Amino acid sequence: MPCPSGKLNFERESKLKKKTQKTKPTLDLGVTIGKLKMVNPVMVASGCFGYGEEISKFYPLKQLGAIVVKGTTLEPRQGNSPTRMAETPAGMLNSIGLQNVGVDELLKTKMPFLRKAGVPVVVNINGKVLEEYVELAKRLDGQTGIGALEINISCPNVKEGGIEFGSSPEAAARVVSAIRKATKHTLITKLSPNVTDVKTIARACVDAGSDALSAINTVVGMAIDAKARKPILKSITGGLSGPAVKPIGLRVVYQVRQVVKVPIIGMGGIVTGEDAVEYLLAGATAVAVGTANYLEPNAALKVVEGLRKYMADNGVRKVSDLVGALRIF
Amino acid sequence: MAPSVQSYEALVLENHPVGNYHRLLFQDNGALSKALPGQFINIRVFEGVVPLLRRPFSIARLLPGPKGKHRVEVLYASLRQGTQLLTDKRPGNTIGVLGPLGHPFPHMDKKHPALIVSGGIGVAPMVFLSEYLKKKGVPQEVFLGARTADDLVDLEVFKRLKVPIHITTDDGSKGRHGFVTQELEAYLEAGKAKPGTVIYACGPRPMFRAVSQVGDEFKIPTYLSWEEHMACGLGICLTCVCPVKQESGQTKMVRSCYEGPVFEASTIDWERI
Ligand SMILES: Cc1cc2nc3c(=O)[nH]c(=O)nc-3n(C[C@H](O)[C@H](O)[C@H](O)COP(=O)(O)OP(=O)(O)OC[C@H]3O[C@@H](n4cnc5c(N)ncnc54)[C@H](O)[C@@H]3O)c2cc1C
Ligand SMILES: Cc1cc2nc3c(=O)[nH]c(=O)nc-3n(C[C@H](O)[C@H](O)[C@H](O)COP(=O)(O)O)c2cc1C
Ligand code: FES
Repeated sequence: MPCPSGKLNFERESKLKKKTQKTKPTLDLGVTIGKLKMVNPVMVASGCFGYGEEISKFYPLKQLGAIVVKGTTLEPRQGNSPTRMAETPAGMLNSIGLQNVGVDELLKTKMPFLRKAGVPVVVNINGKVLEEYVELAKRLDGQTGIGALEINISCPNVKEGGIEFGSSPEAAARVVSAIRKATKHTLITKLSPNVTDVKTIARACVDAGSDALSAINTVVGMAIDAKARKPILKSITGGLSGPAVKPIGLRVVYQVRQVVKVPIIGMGGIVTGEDAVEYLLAGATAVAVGTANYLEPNAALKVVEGLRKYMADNGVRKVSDLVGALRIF
Repeated sequence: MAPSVQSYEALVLENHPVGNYHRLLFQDNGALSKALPGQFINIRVFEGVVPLLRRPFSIARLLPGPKGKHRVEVLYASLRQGTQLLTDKRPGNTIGVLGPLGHPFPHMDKKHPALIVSGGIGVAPMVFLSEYLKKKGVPQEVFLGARTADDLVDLEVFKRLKVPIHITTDDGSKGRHGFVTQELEAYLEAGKAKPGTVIYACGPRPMFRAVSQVGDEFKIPTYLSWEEHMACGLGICLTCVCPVKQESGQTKMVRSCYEGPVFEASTIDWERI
């Protein structure tokens, strides 16, 4: 018998819909890296989110896996002279030079806000010399709300420290083991792509006590204004980020995965959920969204949504099932 | 950044050349209702990743629109990739708008008669400022500088406001032959500035330096609508900084998208630019 009215049909359909929604398996996006427990694997990258205050006006920060705050030093720093940014094809160069409020101000004014926001914080630490890294680690030890420390041995935009420690396995190991002794926090060491052999450095960091690794920091580059015959950046060279560096980021994560067992946080050019999936497949346990936050305030949330959609569409229930699940032909 | 900053898709109503520049009119969703002169927006001209970043533009005018929501005018120069793509937008297309951003010009009250100085497309924020000051009954003199007559846009808006206008062009095709700062200097030398007078300026870097020197010479506070390359416009990247001298004597790098884009000229540390 034909249905007497379209209405009934519609009701039946919507009842059916409700039922299937109920039976849909819940997706498990949770990720743990050492003591850092995250509701999903999507973090925001250091220097690309400030201290969260500005973006908190667009969405609740606790929807993110974690926030990595701006590279922090013992004393406040003003950074490099402008111009500090040059747009390049599918990317941008920056030369901030670690401008930040310093560790005291971070603890005094930024951490209370972030604790209240209910999102785990990762503090990106930077020193000119080894002792400064150690002192920072000590100051941050025992502070609540901090899920991990990210040791930045890969900043291309400062004259001292930074990349000096990140370009040789011995120097990297020295910093990591000294920090290891100074804190109980989970340690993530951030790797530079600007090295000949990233695998050896990765292994040295893990052997020295790093609980996890993150990659990549920016790629050293340069932009020139042909008309003016001048470099665009005052500092002449800077760090490249954005979609242009995604192939480099994926390569580094894939190579590092071959030689270490600890979790890797993948980053470089992530804009969509699928970009994040690519990093997970290459071997990352979690990812970080950097430059994309500049394009759209809710960029990182879109990555979370995109990841969810990928999982739902492809029958992936646990996000960890994607980690390293790359099929090599 | 005011708490009311929004990111939204806006409908393009008009987009066409005016002289050597372009005029874009789009429909606001209400986010910019309370925007003030000096504030700006960051426009995503393209959904893809080349060009990657938004482009910052001053709010040139807020025009009454349907249901109390304004139509917003942007005046812009088509230069390279991003602004060229913007010229392709047709009525009915959309653009991504982020705003209102930054802080407005300071004062804007009757105690502070205004000398408005613009060079080239630097006129954009000044149209809004001039209309606003007129409404508030603040005395003003407008100094418009351009390379050539076709660079003078929205001139009829100033004329309709019946404010005193001084025009200079580099090639002498309209107004006085010379630089706008010379005209400003001549005005000040004639002792015409009333007590409390301030200068508001927007234009290319060399003009900023010249205006700052004039302001300094005549002891008139000078406010510049600063332009620096910016990645986010939101205050989260620290690319857009302007070196500002503090009372302590120290120079601080201050975000031009957030604490700016307006800075007092005498506080800028020109050595670090
Ligand atoms: C607060 C503010 C308000 C502005 N208001 C206006 C306006 O009302 N009308 C107008 O025509 N222009 C305005 N500008 C300048 C305008 O943003 C640039 O002309 C535009 O970004 C150039 O884009 P492009 O793709 O053509 O150039 P490209 O050189 O290809 O741009 C490359 C990168 O450099 C940046 N850039 C290039 N020139 C400038 C500049 N002068 N200032 C800041 N960033 C720049 C771009 O944003 C982009 O990130 C304003 C700039 C700022 C900072
Ligand atoms: C403007 C800017 C500032 C940055 N500051 C830092 C920093 O302070 N410490 C750090 O470890 N990485 C910093 N980075 C690097 C990012 O955290 C990230 O590793 C890199 O940008 C790659 O990711 P993306 O392509 O998603 O931006 C910065 C990047 C940008 C663009
Ligand atoms: S443009 Fe990002 S902080 Fe100003």
